[in-house]
Amino acid sequence: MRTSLRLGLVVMAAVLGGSEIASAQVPKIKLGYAKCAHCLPMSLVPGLARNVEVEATGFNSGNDVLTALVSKSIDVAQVTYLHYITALDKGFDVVAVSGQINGGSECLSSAKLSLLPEDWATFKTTVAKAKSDGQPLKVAASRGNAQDIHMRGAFLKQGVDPNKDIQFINIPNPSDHLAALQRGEVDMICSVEPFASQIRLAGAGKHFVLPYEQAAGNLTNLIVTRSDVIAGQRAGVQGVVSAVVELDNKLIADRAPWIEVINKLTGLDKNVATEALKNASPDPAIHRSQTLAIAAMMRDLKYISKDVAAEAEKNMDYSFLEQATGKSKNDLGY
Amino acid sequence: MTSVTDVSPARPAFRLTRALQGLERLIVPVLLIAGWEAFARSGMLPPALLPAPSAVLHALGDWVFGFDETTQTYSGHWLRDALASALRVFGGFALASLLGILAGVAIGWSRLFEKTLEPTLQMLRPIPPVSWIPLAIIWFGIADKPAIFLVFLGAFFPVLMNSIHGVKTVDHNLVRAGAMMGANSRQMLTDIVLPAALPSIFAGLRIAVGSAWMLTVTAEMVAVKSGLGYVLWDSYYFLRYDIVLAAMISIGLLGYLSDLGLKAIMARTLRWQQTTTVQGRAG
Repeated sequence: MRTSLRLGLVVMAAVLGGSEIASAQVPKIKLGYAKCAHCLPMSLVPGLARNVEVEATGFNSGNDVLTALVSKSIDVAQVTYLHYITALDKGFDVVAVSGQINGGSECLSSAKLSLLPEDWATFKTTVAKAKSDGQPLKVAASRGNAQDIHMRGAFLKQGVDPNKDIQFINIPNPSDHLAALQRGEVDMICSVEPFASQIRLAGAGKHFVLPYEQAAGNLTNLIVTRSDVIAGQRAGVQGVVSAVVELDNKLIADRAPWIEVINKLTGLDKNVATEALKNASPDPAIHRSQTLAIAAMMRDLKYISKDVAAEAEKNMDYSFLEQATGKSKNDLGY
Repeated sequence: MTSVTDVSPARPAFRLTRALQGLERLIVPVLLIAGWEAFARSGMLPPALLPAPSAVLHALGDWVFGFDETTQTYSGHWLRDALASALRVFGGFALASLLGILAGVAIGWSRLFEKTLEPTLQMLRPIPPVSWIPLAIIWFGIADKPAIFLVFLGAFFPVLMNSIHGVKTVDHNLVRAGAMMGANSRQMLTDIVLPAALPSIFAGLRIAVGSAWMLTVTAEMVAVKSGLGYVLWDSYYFLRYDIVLAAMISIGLLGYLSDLGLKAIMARTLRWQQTTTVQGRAG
């Protein structure tokens, strides 16, 4: 009896000791993501990550995530391409290691504009008339976010200068967009999902255009880390990138878990979540040329102070994506 | 031996004492700034993440005077931003002062108002002003009106609470004396209770003006185009921590100046109080 007890204790000690050693060897990564429809699937990454322990934290905004990353509170962050460019402009050490999900921008017009979807000709006439009447059309967005850049690029491509032909209204919090459009305070909103779907479903605005026909395309989310994390925890970063790639593949095949996670983490109606995801494309690639176009647009708009094209290109590390997907960087957006 | 009241302002010893007292006030800020500068320059954190005081001062200088456009679109616009914030702050503060004093005096003076009005106001008091943003937009739209409303909310309750307290704690001997002299209710309120409650009301106003400035950052999240709070949020979006800190300093400075102004008004209004307080006797 005593022998078997001793044997049991030895086995237990070996198992516990072994598991401690094993857990000590598993890299630990702190991952941050923002709470938006496109970002929330990142909360599923810990469940998909292999050979890495991922602690995922939701932040209120992309700025908070980026600040946490550059101040070394987290190791890997989901931000937007604009955050990436902004961080490089300020000289922060950020390295893009994967894409995540693109899309999510939509321009919605107020009922009084009576605009048909994609009817740029009528829009341009309305803009010109409002300008000549001395009351330029009021177009709102959250300054400096992906929707702002998409809208500005699409408008410029159609010959409408957002700085001269319209009155740009900055509404920083997208959750305020619905009320502003409903009250007639603005004529058009370029918003982000799921707020755009909410606006549409509430009848406060009508779909006008998905503003993706411009140099920046539909780029939205990017996974970034720091070079010291890559040097110290390469396996951990690889684990996160592989999990993001797996997550994207799952979301392409079945959006139900995505709708579930939006519903669970935001309390948003599943109909809104379903609508929002029609304007979303899981995409782990890092799109180099569009990123450089975003950097150029941000510089033109004085959102950044210098040309960061060289840094933006240099700080794209495709090696993690190449390993996770088995594809070459030329097939991954380079 | 010379007592405090014997010291004449004209005497050199008095001037030296005042100068030393002035220097005492500077010791902590100077030490803090020197420590901050040294830490920022040590390289432990990237300069963009923790700008040194000199960098913040540079950003503030460019924001005010526009000498090298390092603050980009804000360069030279500080006065416009400060004025925009000040108008919102004083708009909301004036409204809060008026309604807060009226409601506070009414609740403190009348049982009827106390029973009918106070429970509702006390229930609204703990709700954080930031949570009113959606309703503020629905009720007032975008731009200045919701911002003024949020500032009003932040300033209203300190004025209200101190006004109630001031009225309720008026010395009963004063009220009794008034009654013995044949004062009617209106005279009792305007000639005895209100003046006696003024120190407490002014204390509430001083707290309120600080809250009003604090609320500018929250209030200017809502679709305004200028203001110190707006610049702070916008700069944060573009990681311009130097401008964020410059905006914080600006708000602190203007809040301090507002308080000084209020203290000057209080000193004039409550001249009679100076002879009855410890500070009054010392000064």
